[in-house]
Amino acid sequence: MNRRTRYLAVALASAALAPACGTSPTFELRDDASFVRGPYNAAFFWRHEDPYRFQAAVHVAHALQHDRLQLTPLSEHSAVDARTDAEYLEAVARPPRIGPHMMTYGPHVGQAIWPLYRAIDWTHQHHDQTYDILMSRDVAWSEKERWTRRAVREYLARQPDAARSPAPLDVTMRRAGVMAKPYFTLFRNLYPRSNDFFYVAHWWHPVIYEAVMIAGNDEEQEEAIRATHALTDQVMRERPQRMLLAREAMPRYARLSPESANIFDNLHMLHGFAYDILAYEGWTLEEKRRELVRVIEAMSYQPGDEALARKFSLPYPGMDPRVYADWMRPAQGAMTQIMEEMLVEMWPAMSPDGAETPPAAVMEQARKKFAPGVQEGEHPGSLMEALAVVAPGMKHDPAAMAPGAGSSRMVEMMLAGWRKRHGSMSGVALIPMDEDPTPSATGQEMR
Amino acid sequence: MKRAVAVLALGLAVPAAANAADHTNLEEGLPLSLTDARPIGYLGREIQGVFRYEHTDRDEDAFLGETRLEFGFPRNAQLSISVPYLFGEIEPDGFQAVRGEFLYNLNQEDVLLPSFSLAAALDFPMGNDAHGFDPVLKAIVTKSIPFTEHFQQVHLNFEWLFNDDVRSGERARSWRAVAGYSVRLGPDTLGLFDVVREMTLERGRRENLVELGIRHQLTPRAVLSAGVGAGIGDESPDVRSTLGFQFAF
Repeated sequence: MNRRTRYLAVALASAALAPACGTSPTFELRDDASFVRGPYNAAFFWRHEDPYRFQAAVHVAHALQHDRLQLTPLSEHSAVDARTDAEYLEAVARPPRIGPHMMTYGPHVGQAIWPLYRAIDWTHQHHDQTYDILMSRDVAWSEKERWTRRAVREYLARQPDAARSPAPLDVTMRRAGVMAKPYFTLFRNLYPRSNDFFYVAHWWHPVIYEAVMIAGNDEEQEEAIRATHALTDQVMRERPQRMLLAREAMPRYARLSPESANIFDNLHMLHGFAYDILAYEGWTLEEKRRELVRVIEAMSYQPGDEALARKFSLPYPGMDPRVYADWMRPAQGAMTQIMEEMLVEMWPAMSPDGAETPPAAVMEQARKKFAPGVQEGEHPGSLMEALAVVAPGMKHDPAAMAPGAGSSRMVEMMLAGWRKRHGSMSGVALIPMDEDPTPSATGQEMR
Repeated sequence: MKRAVAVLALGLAVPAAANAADHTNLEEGLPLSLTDARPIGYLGREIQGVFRYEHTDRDEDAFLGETRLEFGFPRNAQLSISVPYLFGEIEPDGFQAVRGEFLYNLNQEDVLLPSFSLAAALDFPMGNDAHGFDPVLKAIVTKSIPFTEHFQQVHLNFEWLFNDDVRSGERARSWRAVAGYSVRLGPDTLGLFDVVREMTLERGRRENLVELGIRHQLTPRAVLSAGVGAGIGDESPDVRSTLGFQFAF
């Protein structure tokens, strides 16, 4: 075989293999960046070992879930879900010392959709930074805000396309325009145990920030974090039924750095979208990549996002992170409120009869889909498939449902709706950080 | 013994307050000959120390201490400088050629396509027996195994050294080829295996080595590594063992 024939054979073999793998060569750069240096680095690791290791176990779960969904058939979702949840609980029982990168536990999806892992790992790096700043004895309480602001600035500047937006989730979720997609809610509906494991994680992360916010830099921090982390077993048994948002579960931190709090919510929502897309079997891996790249871009930083950062309200400003409150448990909360608002805003373009607002049956079906698992009376499939059953003749835009495509009209309708509802709000007031706080007795209302 | 302690200190001492090496990002000599195509992250800074014992085919005990500084700059690339020190029964001992290296990663791998890196280095003469500025070229290929949740990678390295000042008994060029495999053994630990074939600068000499090692993430910023190797064939070292340390600062 001469050289030219060999090259031709390799090219043909690659071309033949590509469809079998559901993907084709991407020729992209790695574009990885190192962590941001500061006097606080690794403070969480050295100061609070057990909580740090719990977070490391959560990162194992986040990474593994990608490959688990992509490499197992949807028809086996119940068995896969039970097995996966058991593995996560095992990881929590015997946590790693250090949180792994996504590639270490989800290598297959990482090879196909590198921009996803780049965004996740880079944002996990940011979370490490912000925990470390709060927990470092070397950063005075009055200096926490300045260092956090620097960490946010470096996070956005060093990898702008990988960084999540500092705008509230209300805005980025509308930009992403995923609710009409054929994958939306699949993960939470069909893999409820694994999904709810992450809802525990999304309770845990903010309340740990908040434990520091009520306790300050001194030894009270150890006590507040110990008391908060000690709730984890109970919360794991009685898992929240929604993704808690920063504004709910870490209101004080959200006032220290609204930008960082929003980045936090935006990453957690990206996890959910990624799992929905990977669970969906109607697209090839390459199509899933196109869709995820679109979503990542829509939820990344865009000029002017800083001006929106404080535009959210605080439903529980005096919450105590050391208490697993009743309001943290049900499916109804800030997250579901955002999705319901979006559905109402989209409805005029979807309505079969030209109605301006969705009928009660649509809202009822949507609430069932927004909750984990399959509720009584819930129709199978994605949100849109279920709504189509209760609203026959509902209009779809097939182009907007395609992988990697979005409906700019629908997105603009939703953003206009958000501006009308929340655009003029003054936003949350920044929290004073001049005095190291002292926590009140557990369960008492605090500032 | 004092020399061994001094070289250990040179190779392994790091600032106490310093910190995020990554155990899955392979580095040459830490602990095997094998490396991967991935550079450290942009603006990363790392100090690395290697301490290696080798029992040569000539029945000599040789020790190597090496300190390396690595910088993630520019994007998708790294610059490094390494200073090796050889001692024991081997000649010539003392400081060896100081290597400055630039590595550039051409692409992130995907499901089909491996990741490729190219590196260029220059060995600067240092020590009693130093001579010539030797250029080095490297090609590195890394591919993760797809369709499995278990993190495993295969790697190929090829290195050419061009002898700038050829002396009697030396070749004008040498090369080394390494084929290896790395696998996640646990969340914080990676296992490695490689096979090395080297045509050394010494005329008429070829070395073959099989190596096994582990890399362990000790803290968010520190990685410990250890490896052992055995030679195959008369001209290869009988045994080689390596301890390594990395610290991101």
